[in-house]
Amino acid sequence: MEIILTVNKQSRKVEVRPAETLLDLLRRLGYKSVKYGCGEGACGACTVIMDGRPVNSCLILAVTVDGREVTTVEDLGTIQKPHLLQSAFVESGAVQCGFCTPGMIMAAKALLDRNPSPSEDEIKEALDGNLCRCTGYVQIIEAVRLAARRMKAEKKKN
Amino acid sequence: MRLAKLQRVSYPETVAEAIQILSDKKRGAVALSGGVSFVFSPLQSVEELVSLSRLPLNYIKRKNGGLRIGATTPIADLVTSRAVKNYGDGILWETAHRIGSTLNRNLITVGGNLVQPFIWSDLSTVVLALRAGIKIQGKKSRDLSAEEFFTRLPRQFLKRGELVTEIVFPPFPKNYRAAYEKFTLTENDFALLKVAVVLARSGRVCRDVIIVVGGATILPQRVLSAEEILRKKIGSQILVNEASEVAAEEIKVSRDIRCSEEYKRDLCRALVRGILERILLDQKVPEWKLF
Repeated sequence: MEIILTVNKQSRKVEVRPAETLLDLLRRLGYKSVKYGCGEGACGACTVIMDGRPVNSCLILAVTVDGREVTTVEDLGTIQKPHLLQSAFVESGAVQCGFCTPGMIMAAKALLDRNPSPSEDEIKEALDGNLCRCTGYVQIIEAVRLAARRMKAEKKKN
Repeated sequence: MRLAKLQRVSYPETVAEAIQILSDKKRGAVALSGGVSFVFSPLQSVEELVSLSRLPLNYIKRKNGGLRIGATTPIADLVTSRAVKNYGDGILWETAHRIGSTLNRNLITVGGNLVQPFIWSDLSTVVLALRAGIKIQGKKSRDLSAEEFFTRLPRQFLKRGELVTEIVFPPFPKNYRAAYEKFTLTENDFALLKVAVVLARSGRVCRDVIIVVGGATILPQRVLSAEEILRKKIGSQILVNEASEVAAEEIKVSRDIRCSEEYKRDLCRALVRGILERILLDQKVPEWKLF
């Protein structure tokens, strides 16, 4: 079946298999930041932003995303010019094995897009579907707070 | 191959269009709201999926002290809604807030959670306790009370071409109190059992009460004999203990691989007692004391 969706601001016409999930499709298209973790919506490694909301891409059938807009971590920054969230994660020591990081960053981005000055509780709630099995959560929360401060400062400057 | 017969996905923009597609026997179409449960257990025979995502059923409206919630409203929207937070002692908000994770709540819809219930589903327990109404549209429209709706698995009695379109929550009078509790092994885990109680008080007298237990069976159940013990009586610890004891004895408990029947009955007793101590006897019951 053919669908048209927008991935990282690029419109794509793709052929999808009936039972293929959005996670499988994105990885097949080369968006390897989207990770297969649990496959049942519990770990958040496959988090992408769909129409402004962070979602588990493993819980969505690809055939049902016709016309939707999807954003993955590939859209945020590059190694040369990382997004403020990405550099905050590195500087805060919020990355260890890195498997959960793309999902964490997408969930955090959706939060900061909606709420530029979140409280600690709001950060914890926004990341409650993203599991990390090595770093722990203290540095991750600190990274989101740091990014929020920097994004606010940058917005003021502009 | 999974879903080998699936030919197409349609995206109707009106309820009438969706009903027309779903009514057509030849098309073998199935409605899909959030679609979360369908990913895990798809109907292999389905030839067409009808995505409800473009229907104008994503809304929360205040009406005469009650609420009207469209069936495709994501659970996440209940959590961010001030109207939901202010309604019914916050019981609906509390329930929505504790469904899965933020990521899950962005996908799961109100209608989907009711039409495709699992033993761990949360919303049905509170919908029944709040005496909500369920609006169903098809060739003929019908309005059911939650009590009628949950007599059988909804997919068994929804006719071909019928859709749940709206949940109507009645006004919540000032003398009413409500509370919801669920027991999970971890914060994000599926609940083993949950209890919702809505009661009307005049001073310490319990004028009206509805006690609903979810998670003992797939469909939520009212515990009528426990309600009867409390109705029109002055609230006391003895009465609360008796009602929670009867509730634990009366509920039907299905087999559950996660825990024994006795454990669920113990949970039921503790949850009913804790909630009644809080909203009937005005005791401050810390969560640790419930269990």
